[in-house]
Amino acid sequence: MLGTRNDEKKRREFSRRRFLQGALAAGSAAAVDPKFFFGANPAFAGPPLGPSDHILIMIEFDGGNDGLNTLIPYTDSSYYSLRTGLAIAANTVLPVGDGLGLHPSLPYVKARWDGGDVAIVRGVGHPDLDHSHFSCMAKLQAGTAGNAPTLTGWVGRYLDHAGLDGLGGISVADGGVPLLLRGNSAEVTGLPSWSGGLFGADRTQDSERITYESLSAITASDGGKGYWGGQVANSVHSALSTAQIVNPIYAPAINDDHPFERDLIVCARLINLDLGARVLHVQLGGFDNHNAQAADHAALLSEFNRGLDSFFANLAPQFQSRVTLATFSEFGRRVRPNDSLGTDHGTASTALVIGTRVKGGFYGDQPSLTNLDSRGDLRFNVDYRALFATLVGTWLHADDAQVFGQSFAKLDMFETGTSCAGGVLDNIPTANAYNAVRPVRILDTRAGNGAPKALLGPGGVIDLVVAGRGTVPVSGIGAVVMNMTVVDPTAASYVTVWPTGDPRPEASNLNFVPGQAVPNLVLAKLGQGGKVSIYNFAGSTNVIADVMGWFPTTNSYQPLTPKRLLDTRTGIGAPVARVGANATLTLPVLGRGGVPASGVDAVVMNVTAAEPSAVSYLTVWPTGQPLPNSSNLNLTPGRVVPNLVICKLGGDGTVSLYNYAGDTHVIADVMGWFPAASGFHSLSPLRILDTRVGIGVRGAIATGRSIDADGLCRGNVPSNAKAIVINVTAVEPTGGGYITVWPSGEARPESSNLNFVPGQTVPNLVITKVGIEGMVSFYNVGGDTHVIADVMGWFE
Amino acid sequence: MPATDIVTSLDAAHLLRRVGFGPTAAEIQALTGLTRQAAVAAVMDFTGAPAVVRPAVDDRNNEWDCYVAAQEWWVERMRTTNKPLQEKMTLFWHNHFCSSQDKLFDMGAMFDQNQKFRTLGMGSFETLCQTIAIDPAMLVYLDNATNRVGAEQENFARELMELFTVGVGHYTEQDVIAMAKAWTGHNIVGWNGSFTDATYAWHPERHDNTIKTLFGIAQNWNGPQAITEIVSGSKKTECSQFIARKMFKFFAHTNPSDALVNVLASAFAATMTISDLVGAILLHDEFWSATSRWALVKSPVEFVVDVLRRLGQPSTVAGLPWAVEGMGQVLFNPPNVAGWGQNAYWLSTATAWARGGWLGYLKWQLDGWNFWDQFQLSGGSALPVATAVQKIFDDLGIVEPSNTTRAQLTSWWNAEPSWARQPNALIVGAMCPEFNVV
Repeated sequence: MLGTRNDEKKRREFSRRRFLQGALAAGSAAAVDPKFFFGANPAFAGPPLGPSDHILIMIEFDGGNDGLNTLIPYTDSSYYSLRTGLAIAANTVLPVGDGLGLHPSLPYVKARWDGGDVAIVRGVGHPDLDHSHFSCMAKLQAGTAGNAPTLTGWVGRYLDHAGLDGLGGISVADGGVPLLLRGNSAEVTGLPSWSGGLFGADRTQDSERITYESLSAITASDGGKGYWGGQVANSVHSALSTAQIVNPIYAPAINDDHPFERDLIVCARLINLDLGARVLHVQLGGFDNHNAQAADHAALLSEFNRGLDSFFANLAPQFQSRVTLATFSEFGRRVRPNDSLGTDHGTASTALVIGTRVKGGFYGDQPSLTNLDSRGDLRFNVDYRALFATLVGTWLHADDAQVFGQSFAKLDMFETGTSCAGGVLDNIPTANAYNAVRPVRILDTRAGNGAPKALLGPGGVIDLVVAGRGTVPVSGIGAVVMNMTVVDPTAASYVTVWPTGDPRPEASNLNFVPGQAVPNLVLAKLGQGGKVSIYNFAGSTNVIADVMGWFPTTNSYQPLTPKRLLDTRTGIGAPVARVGANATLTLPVLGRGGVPASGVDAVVMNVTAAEPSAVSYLTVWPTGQPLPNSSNLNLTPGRVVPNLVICKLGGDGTVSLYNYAGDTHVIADVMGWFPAASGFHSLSPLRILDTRVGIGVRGAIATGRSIDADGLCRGNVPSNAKAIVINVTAVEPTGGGYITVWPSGEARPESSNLNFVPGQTVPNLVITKVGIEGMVSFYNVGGDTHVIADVMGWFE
Repeated sequence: MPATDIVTSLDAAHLLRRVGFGPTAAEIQALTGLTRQAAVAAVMDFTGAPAVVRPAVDDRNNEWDCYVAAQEWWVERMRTTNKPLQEKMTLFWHNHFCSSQDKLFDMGAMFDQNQKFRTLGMGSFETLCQTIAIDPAMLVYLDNATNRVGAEQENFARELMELFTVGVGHYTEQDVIAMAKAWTGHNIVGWNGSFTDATYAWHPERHDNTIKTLFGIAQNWNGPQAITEIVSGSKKTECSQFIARKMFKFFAHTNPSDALVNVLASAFAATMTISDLVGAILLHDEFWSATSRWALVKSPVEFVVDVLRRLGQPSTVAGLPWAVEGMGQVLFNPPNVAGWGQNAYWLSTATAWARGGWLGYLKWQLDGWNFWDQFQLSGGSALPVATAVQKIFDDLGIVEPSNTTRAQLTSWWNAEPSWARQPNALIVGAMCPEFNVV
């Protein structure tokens, strides 16, 4: 029957409304010619994603999306008086502040907004929006203004500029490459939505293989048919090569009921293969809602919401922080509905930019509903080209002025580590508080590195030379930061680390049971000869030490010979009593164990839970402040669990220890302290990564993979921090393995920070430099595992 | 007659590729030796074209089947007609005055519009334009069905100028507003919140009878007067140039000079009769020049019809529309009101996959029918290789194969297992560059 417009087939047909060259060709010159690659390498895969490379996905809302019903001014009475019959009810919108709400079809977008991952660009438009689908879309894709025909798109010119080819620029949809991706030289790829479309991929039969190989040879020349014969040959030739490269992304088959979702899953899988994809384009069509808009528009936004959700669910964790998605549409809709319960072509609209590294918030102003232009349209205040220039300049690190032919004031919408906690350190001279070094293994008894190749036996001591090893200087060192690990111990035991030449203290740095690999961070004062001594109590074990950095002797970390400040088993520091469920123990620190009575900002302790009765966690925080939502130790019944803790002192010179469940003994050995103005800044812990819920990255890290997390902006750390202190926890690993933490963009060191066994939740303190764009990388080997990271402080 | 005016076999093949869908040797032979004038007159004479028998497009409860039926009907007509230019012109106007079943969901109305292109496509441009302006499919597609005074709908008004007659730069935003008002009241019978009957209806009470300033002329414009003003009044030059440029690009090559366009437009403007423009293009030296040879990429519809002609198979084997949509062109469903483009528009890795994939689908279809033993393409896997390769070229209508292609096809024939030569000849032959340009 006439007027039935919502069935899926039709929507699918609409989604193919994507070609623009025809519109441009009207009254202009010939279409853009892709370049030849004859004689060049037709392998279309690009280089893997480098440490500072990013990926952009442009989502084209085709037909003119109604920005006013995407971001709804539900507190503005003018909206309800003007949008008669099409207004979204105030009690159904998803509020995002400023009196604005997202369309009820956008719950996933709202969830990401709540997580700080969505930039909403309000009042976005273009100086030449003339209400024509074709000229408006052409101008947005070209990234130009005025009437001069442009035969290249801004993404295409970016690809030219960046020297990207082949799979560097991809449109995922059936047929054609849009103007957006067409450059002067860049050869881009249009991917089909399903594997059956991959002519040339299946070469398992000789007869097919021979045919495809012959066709590749034939299409290496133009068949004597001139320019367009060459272009045809070029497309067939590249299709045959590309088919084999991208074939894996179509398995397993993707549900075809939601084409936009399907196309975004294809994008995610393509990115996961790391074939060089940098800019991708997908399209959601059908926004030209001249008639009966309400249901159609809700359905389209719902498809968009669903596609985004599936995209991030399918994107591998290591790429989660590398992708930004941005929407654009040729224009918004007129404010007043037309006579058909639809809307006519308008001007300003709303764009959404979504990604882990996006600074969530509003950009641009909400257009006034009472100061409309002469046509009754919204007035724009953000030029689309400023948004695009931001994507090119800030996110893709390219020269946007060259790509767009002019400069635009960019929007400050990315957390790329240059200005996230701006100004905090402006007037503070950089102190030499901590010197992070590239981690170097300076002890491995399995390999004879730093000590004889032999197990450390019961009562045995290794005197380990630290000064001058690896990247550690020979002198001027107050203390070193090492991650120490015991491997394959034969008995329940502990290890103590102290300055060589001093008497061995009654303290422990690592506690372990037979067969378990246990790491812990150690801040060790160097003794005679620049050495530390390492003692093993019982049984035999291998010992590994990775040096992570060092403190200067003055005005910085003040190491102590370790001293026990707390042992609830023996009554040191507190009465003999187990710490109960939901109970807090207050531990005096000032003036004890070598810590001075004044001038102390933070204390460094090794905290150990002994004989816990239940699965639980311990949190250590400055007395007097609210209990933070973080943990320092994760307890498993019957296990002895240590971790290093750096904690600011409360106003009364004490720290508080909280136990979540069951009861446990707690032991704390002081290792040193930071004076006020030492350059160390302790923070109330901030969670920068939780792969279980999608803070930073969504999804467990697979074995052999690394992910990046934003150490600066998410942790509220200034950009010139030298190093950050994070407590890293592996949660529910599926196999035994370890995690390495290091500054993003640098080569991954051969060291480990955290060792885990299947099913066990294991934390360790990590002090690391931040890398490129304020990012910290986490590498996992052994089993798939979730990871949590809490920023505890930072060093100037 | 100068010798250059005598049509060679290569000239005849060129003309027939442009006005049809893959000429046979007999069709080429029939024009060879004629003058250009005679050859062009022959292809422009539609006398004796097959009668139009309406396909099953009117079941309003099963629009999908109607959609498939219409496509199979049109492709079959393209494949079998003895007057292919009539279908080429229909295709041109379908791609010019775009409407889409995707929006209409009324295949009967889409077919009616298509038949208007077929019967009016070589006649008066104004008649065609006036007819399509109030064609039910167009009224619904560009929303003039709901355009009425006080609730103007400017979708059609804008595209009438931007895409149908004069192009961007030859009208103002004020003209769009005036044009929309001029077309108020030109609606359909059954519009009351939803479409029930798309028959055109003039509703004088819905018409804006105010004085409107269109193209600088203030009067009580009504829609049809505005078309007359464009086609034979103050916008005639722009209109003739706009149409002449587009049609030259359709038949000859995509980069005509302004001077050439002006020459063709003058010929057109003398009568504003479409056949005069078509004749001027086909008889222009530029059409026969090296610049025009092989200058157009074979569109998906041309590709599909050509392959079916070569195989002697009906359109029902083609899997229309789903098996061809990846190529980027589905009849009765242009991507938007600007229609399909040309040349680079058809070329990408994805469309190449789709062309190859469709050939594979055909191979599978025809395999199932034990077809290959009678397949004309090879005449048998045991032929001497040189004979077999030439036969592949002949059977696919490849008149000027390159030495490279011939050498590679020879290697292919020798390497391919003999049982696979016949079916795969279709794929390797039809994916050659020689087969994909016209």
